[in-house]
Amino acid sequence: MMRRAASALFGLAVGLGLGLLYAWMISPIQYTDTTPNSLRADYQADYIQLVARSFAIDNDLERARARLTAIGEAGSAQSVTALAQRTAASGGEVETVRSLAALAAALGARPASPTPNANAATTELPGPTATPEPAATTQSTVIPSPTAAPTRTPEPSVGFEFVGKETVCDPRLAQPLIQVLTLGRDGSQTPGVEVVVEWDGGFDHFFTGLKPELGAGYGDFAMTPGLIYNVRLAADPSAVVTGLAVENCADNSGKTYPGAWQLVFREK
Amino acid sequence: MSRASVLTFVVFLALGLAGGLYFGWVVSPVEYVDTAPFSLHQSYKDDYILMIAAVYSGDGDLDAARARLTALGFDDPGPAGAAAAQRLIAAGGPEADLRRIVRLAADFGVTTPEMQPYLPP
Repeated sequence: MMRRAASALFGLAVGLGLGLLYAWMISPIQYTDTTPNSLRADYQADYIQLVARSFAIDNDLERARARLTAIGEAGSAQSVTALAQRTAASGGEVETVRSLAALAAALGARPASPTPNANAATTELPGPTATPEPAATTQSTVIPSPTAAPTRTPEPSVGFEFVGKETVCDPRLAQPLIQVLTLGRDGSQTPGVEVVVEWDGGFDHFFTGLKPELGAGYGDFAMTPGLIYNVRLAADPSAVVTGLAVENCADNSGKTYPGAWQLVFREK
Repeated sequence: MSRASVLTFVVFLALGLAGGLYFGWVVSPVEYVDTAPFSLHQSYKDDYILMIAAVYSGDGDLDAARARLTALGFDDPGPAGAAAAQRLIAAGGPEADLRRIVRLAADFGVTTPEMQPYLPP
């Protein structure tokens, strides 16, 4: 009896081992009909970029949404925004960043955590006739609206013109900023416009639309006190603003804090 | 070893084998979580090719389109593009899509009679 039990146990163990060997090693299940959500992270990024570039061509938001749905959480609006920011930071193709920013804006991305000035209540964009002269005195808070202006899909631009600049005094801003707002011919905010910031001994660039919670055409750059900045759009070097330095603002008690510059550019 | 023991061994070997296969294929199969585009279902591949064609229609960069198609597992992108175009034509896809995908296949040197109406003039 003991002998038969031992044989049974041994047979079961050998059979189980052989079965697992065959199922896991020799003939594992072949996944030949996978869906995009099983793609490796870098392939998912490629996929999202392709969705964005394709959206820039066909302007079909519902189709882009469906494609992103197939990729799961990685295709969320926030993920598209994050990918746009990563692509811009890593020096990716301008066209790809533009497309990702436009798609994120079209999807109405919201950040996972609010940025310092995301809760600003005042909405007041300079009109097309705003003077390009620097504001002589500090002004009330002026921050782009997160939702007021409709988004638009970028088209081949014929260039931009500088519309105006003004000082933004908002004590909630953690640091002095250059805020850029890019508008289309119809006044709607335009995402994906590359902005170049130069100063003595250095330069950097950023794209509008990568903080869609602040507006589809909004982008900003942190200023360092003591430096003088020139700002221009990569797509149109003639649209340039020179001599920007940190402007101080004062609150009701007379305490000063660094303000921001808001620059507005409009498509010609 | 008695005949009964051998029989017991064989029976339980078979049971163990069946159990192992069931566990390996059904209960806990090998999971593919980091797949490459070439493992996508054909419908997703076709849509992927369509996106490549859309981007190509915008930037005209045939090398970039070739690289993307290669990532999909198509070393010979012309026939792959043409096959996807044929399927889209058969499915009655939107004309704008058809023109883009047909142009892609044609620029890789592959055309078919069905593709003719959608070829660029």
